[in-house]
Amino acid sequence: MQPDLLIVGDSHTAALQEAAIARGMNAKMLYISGNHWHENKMRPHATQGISAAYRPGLNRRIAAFAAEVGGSVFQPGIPVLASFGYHLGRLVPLFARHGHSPDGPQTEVEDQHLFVSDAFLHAYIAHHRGSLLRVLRLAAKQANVIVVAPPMIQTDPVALRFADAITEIVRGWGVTVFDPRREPDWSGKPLPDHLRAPDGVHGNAAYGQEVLARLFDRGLIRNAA
Amino acid sequence: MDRQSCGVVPRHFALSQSCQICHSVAVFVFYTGAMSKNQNPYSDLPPTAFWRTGVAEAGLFGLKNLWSSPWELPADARFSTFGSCFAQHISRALKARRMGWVDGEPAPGGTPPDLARDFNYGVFSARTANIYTAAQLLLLLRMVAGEVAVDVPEVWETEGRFRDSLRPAIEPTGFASVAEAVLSRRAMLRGLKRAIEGADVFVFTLGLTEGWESMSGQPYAACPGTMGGTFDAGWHRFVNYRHASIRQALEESLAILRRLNPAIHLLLTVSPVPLTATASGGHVLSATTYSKSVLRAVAGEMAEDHAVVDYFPSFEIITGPATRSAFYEPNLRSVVPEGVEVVMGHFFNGLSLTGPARHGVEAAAEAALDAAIARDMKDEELACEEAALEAFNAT
Repeated sequence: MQPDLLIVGDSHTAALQEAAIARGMNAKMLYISGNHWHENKMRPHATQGISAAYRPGLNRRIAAFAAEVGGSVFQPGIPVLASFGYHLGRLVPLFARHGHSPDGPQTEVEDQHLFVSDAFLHAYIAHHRGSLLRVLRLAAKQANVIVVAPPMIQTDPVALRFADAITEIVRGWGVTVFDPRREPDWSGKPLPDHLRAPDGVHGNAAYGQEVLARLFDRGLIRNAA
Repeated sequence: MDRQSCGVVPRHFALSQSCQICHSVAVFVFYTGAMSKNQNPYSDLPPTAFWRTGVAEAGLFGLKNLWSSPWELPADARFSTFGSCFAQHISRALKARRMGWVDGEPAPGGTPPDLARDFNYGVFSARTANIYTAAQLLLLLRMVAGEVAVDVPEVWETEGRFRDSLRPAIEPTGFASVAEAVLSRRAMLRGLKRAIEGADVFVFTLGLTEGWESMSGQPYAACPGTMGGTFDAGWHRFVNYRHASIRQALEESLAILRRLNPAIHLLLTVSPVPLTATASGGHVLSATTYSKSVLRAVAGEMAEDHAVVDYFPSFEIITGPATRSAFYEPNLRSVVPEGVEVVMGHFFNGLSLTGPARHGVEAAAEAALDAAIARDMKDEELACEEAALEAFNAT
C-alpha cells in the first residue's frame, strides 16, 4: 500500500514518525544519520530522489526505500516531511571554535566574539550544506515537501542565526518550511520540557504530534489520509 | 633613546645625541684605544663590511650575515605580521614552517581554504588588509587602544553595498549595511589586539609614503574611488608623508604596542614592491625611490634608537644589485617566489630562538579547547543516533 506520508531526515525525524504512527498514518521514514547528512555529499537523483553514491551501503538503503514507496523518495501525491539541511550540532561548535558569531548584538557586547558577515555566513553554509539544500530545492519541484526546521533546544545565538539563515535560503527557493521557533507559543524560548525527548536535545512524540497537527491545520500536508 | 650600538666591532661604539639647538638626533661613532700606524677604522672590519667581498663576489646566493636578531626570543616565539602586501609573504613563510604565527582573527573553524582566501582570513594576523602607511597603522592601534571610536572612520556606500574605508576589499561584495561593516571592523580590532597581546614580535612591513586622507585627517587604505567610495576633491586629499610624520607615527605606534604588550618587539621591514602609481606629480620611478628611501631611513633610525625595534633588510635583498632585478616578475614589480624564499631564508637564519619556551600554557589551552569541541560533537552524534532508534521502535 502506498504510504500517505514520507519522513526523511536525521534524528529529528523520530518524533515526527512516532507522531504519524500515533495518528494512524501509513508513514514511512527514511532515517539517515546526521553524520552522513553533515558530510554534504548527498545529491539529487533522477529516479530515487537522493543519491549517496559515495557510500554504497547507504545508497542501497536509499534505493530500497525509494523502491518500497513507489520509485522515488520524492514523488507527486505523497507529502514529504524533510528534516535535513540543518544538523547544527555538528556545524556550529566547529564554526564558533575561535569565538566567531554572525549575531551582531552578541558580538557587540561580548568581547571574545568575532563578528562574521551575512555574506560569509551564507558562503559557509553553501559550502557545508549546499548539496543538501540543492536536494531540497529539486525535491520541492517533484513533491509536496515541507522542511521541518529543528526545534529551539539551545539558545545559543550562533546556532539560531545559522538556523535562520538556512531557513531563509530554503524559503528563498520557494520551499515550504515549518519553523517551530516562529510558532507564536514556542517563539523566543527553548522548547518546553514536556515536549522534549529524554536526551533533552530532540523533540518527543508529543512534540511531533503538535507539529503534525499544525501542519494539517494549515493545510500544508496535502493529499494526506 | 635607549639604544647605543652600531654593530659588533668592539673597538668602537655609537652614541645617539641630540643637538642642543635644533634637537635633531645624530649617531656619533667613537673609536677607542690607540691604533698602530697601518691601522684605521676599516682595518679589522669583516668581509661583509666591504662591497667587493660582501656583495659583488658573494653574489646573490652568497650574501651572508645580512641580519641577525638582536633579541634572544623564546624557542616557541610567536610572530604577528602586518603591513603592505609583501608582509603576506612573511605570514605564509611562518605558517609553512609551522613557526608561531599568531592569528588573532582566524577564519571560523571548518572554513575551506578558498573561502578563507576570498574573505581575506589568514593573510595577516588579523583582517586588517594591507596597511600601507605608518599613519594607517597608528589609526588602527589608536582604535585598539580605545583612543578612536570604532565607528569614526568612514564606511562607503556603493550601489547598496557598504565598504570599510580602512579595508575596502576585505569582503568580496562589501557589507550589507553600515552596522555590519562596523561590527566586522570591531572584530578586526579585537583580532589585532589578540595579535599584539599574543606575539613576541610584531613584524610590520612599511609600504608607502604616498596616501590619501580625508580633510578631517582620516587616512585611507586606498584612494577613494579606486576600490570603493567616490572621490571628492573637496574632501579627499593626497598626502606624501614625510620622514618626520612617519617617524612620529611609528613612535606613537610603538608606545601603544608596548602598552598593550610590554614584552613585544617591533621588527620593521620595507616592502621592495614599487609603487603601482604615484600621485605626487613626479615620475613613478623617482617617486618609488623617494618613498622607499624615506621608509628605509625611518626604519633604520627606529632600530637605532630603540632596543625593542629592529630592521630586517628584505628590501635590500630583493632590490640590491646582486639580484640584477632577477627577483622581480616581468612586470618589474611583483616579487617572484624564489626571491621570497631567499628573503625568508635570511630571516630564519638570523633568528635567535634560544630563550626558554613561554607559550606552552596557551598551546595547551588551545589543544584542550579543540579536544572539548571534538568530545561535544561526539556526544551529539551519540544522542542523535539514540533518538533515531526510538522512531524504529514506533514503526
